[in-house]
Amino acid sequence: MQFFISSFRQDWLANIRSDLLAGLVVALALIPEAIAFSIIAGVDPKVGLYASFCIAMVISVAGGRPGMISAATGAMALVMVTLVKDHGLQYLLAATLLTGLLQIIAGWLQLGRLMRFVSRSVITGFVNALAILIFMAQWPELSDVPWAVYALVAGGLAIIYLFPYLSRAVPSPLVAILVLTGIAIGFDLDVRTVGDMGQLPDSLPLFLLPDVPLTVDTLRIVLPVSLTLAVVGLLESMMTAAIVDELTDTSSNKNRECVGQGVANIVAGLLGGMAGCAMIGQSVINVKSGGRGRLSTLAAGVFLLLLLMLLGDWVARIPMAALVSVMIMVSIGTFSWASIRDLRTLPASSSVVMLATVAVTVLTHDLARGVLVGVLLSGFFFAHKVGMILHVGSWASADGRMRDYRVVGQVFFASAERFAAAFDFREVIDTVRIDVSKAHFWDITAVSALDKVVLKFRREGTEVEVIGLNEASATLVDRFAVHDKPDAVEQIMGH
Amino acid sequence: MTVDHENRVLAAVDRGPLAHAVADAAIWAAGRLARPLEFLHVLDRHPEQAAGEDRSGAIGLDAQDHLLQALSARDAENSRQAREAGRLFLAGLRARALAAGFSRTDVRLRHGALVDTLLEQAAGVDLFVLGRGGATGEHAQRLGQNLASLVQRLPQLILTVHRDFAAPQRCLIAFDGSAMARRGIEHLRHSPLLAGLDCHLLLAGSPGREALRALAQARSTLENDGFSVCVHQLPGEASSQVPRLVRDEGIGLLAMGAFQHAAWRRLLLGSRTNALLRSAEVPTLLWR
Repeated sequence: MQFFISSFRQDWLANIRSDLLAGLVVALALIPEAIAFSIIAGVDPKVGLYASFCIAMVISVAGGRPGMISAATGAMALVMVTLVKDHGLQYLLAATLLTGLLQIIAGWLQLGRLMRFVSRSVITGFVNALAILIFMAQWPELSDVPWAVYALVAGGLAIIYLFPYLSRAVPSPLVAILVLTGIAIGFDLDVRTVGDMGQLPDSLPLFLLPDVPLTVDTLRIVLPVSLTLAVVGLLESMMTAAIVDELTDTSSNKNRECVGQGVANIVAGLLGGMAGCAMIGQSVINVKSGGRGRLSTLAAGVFLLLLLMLLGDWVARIPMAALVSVMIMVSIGTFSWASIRDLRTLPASSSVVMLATVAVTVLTHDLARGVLVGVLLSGFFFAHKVGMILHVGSWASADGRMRDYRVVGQVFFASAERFAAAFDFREVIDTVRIDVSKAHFWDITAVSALDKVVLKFRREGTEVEVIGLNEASATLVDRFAVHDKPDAVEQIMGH
Repeated sequence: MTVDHENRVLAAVDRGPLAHAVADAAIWAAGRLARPLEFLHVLDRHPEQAAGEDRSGAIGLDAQDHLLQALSARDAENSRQAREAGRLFLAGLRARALAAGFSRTDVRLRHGALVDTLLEQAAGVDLFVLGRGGATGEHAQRLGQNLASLVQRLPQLILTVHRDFAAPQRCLIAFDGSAMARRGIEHLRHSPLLAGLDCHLLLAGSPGREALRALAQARSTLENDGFSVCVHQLPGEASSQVPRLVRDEGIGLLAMGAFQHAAWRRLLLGSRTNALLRSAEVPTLLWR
């Protein structure tokens, strides 16, 4: 009880003024993004806007990372494009519900812990790929359009980046949108506006179950998309949570965040919104503006709802060029430019992992596949590196009848071949002694490699004696349970 | 027992208006108990609070890296300043103790939350001295919460001060006949802290036979130990009688068992201890 009260105070009430102001800034920045991501997904802007305020409000209570902003995102929108094109909005809503369900299950199974297998390079690759995809998604608005659009986009970018030098009290993307809308209306420019892209919200969302037949066919259509959505959503949420953790020097509850994302998506799906997740860019903006507590996320959702109710008609008149300039800012701000500079200094393997993640994602438009490739590659590279830590030395006895082999290092699937090749089977000799007490046999491949070595020597008529096999194979068991016992680790690794 | 391992009096001080009162009370108590004194100042960083000057909503090149650098640089600067200020502050208190003729003073500067730090340090402490409630309401409320959980989790006596401290001549023990009150009497009669003070025992409300017997027993116990005891058995709430007695009898210290109910009950019904603490204008000695 005491704990509950104090954590409630800390999460909600410790930072009220800054949280509310940051929430307002975030809400203003969310409007163009939610609209733009709806357009990427191929649905009406209202689907993204409904989703954004539902998700922000629900996650502020249910999430595990106070101060993190979740809403409709580009990463998720990119996954649902094909589903929307082929089957329509109702299937998207069904997929959103299923995504939420899968995420809740993932939270219960504590799959957040799997994030530790996602290396730094993969995360960088994910972020870069996301930035590139968001940028590429702006092409349709930039190709085959009148020159006025280019002028507006350039003007918008100039305002976004230069206005903060004048004043940091007003969000510069908002200023850009206001100015560009004013210009477009004032000069009566013939450019595409948000209103041309589809329906905007004109009322509060209604509670509705998706209008899809409850059949196996539906599941077959929806499940693959939902799985990808669930994975991508959790990946981006976990990464963003880690970023916010790092920025604010506080910790978060990853499994609660998984369940929270699921609950938020289910609520969004039932209210006619698309699936969403945590947003890296918006969360950075929130922290930068002073948002720390759950109140900032809740405020972002509530302000977003209020703004839409008040400004609905005006939102329709925003030229698409203004949104494009905001999205270009988002992609520039999301991209890790330092990672390009670091390509020269970091080890080649980590650069390859990063680049592969980016390449696969950009080619397949699927962040989950990119991350999978990145994780697999980093696993390969790690196994390769550790496999190099193996040395087999030998010396013959004075009379030349016996040879001592001494194995030091890690023997497992990636190094078993090198291990077997280190023995000279053709040497004419009576006895061979293999001392493995300074080696570690990690898996069955290692043991069978040793068996083969012994067999081969025997076939040549050589006696084989293996020393220290017990110590070497202590690492074979699957559950060491030594992580909290330094003595046990010493015993296994240091013998 | 060597001098090094002697139990000590631990005074938790923060850089608020009460620091000197807490220090004076701790010096007085350490002198009476003949124990070394330690001033503990806790530097508590509050990452859940932020100063956000930048509401531009724009993120530029490597926004995240730059933000991380800016935030950690600011934290580092604040921590350094707090650390230096904390050192100076503690050195000042040590000088104050020396000026009062007390030389066995140690100071300790730690990171962390106040309650956790005090619980960690509890071993080897005879008496805690804390300030309760500063000038501002919010601060007072937070400390009130801290106090409740501290009293419930620490077995030692806790001396709380809420304005200037003067060495007391007469003390008032709020007695209700409960096991907690009887335990307190046992605490006090063996401790040199109150030795030689005039003792007033207050039993408020309409007590049962059990309570009256306990009162008589407490009185005789204390008198046997050489206290001069004066018993007040008065109607009404203790929180209304205590301020009157303090004023009329020149009481300098209130002693009572505190916070015997669980947190949820305090939340629903309010706490009698808190009501008493608010009404008492004198230093208060608490036990659980």
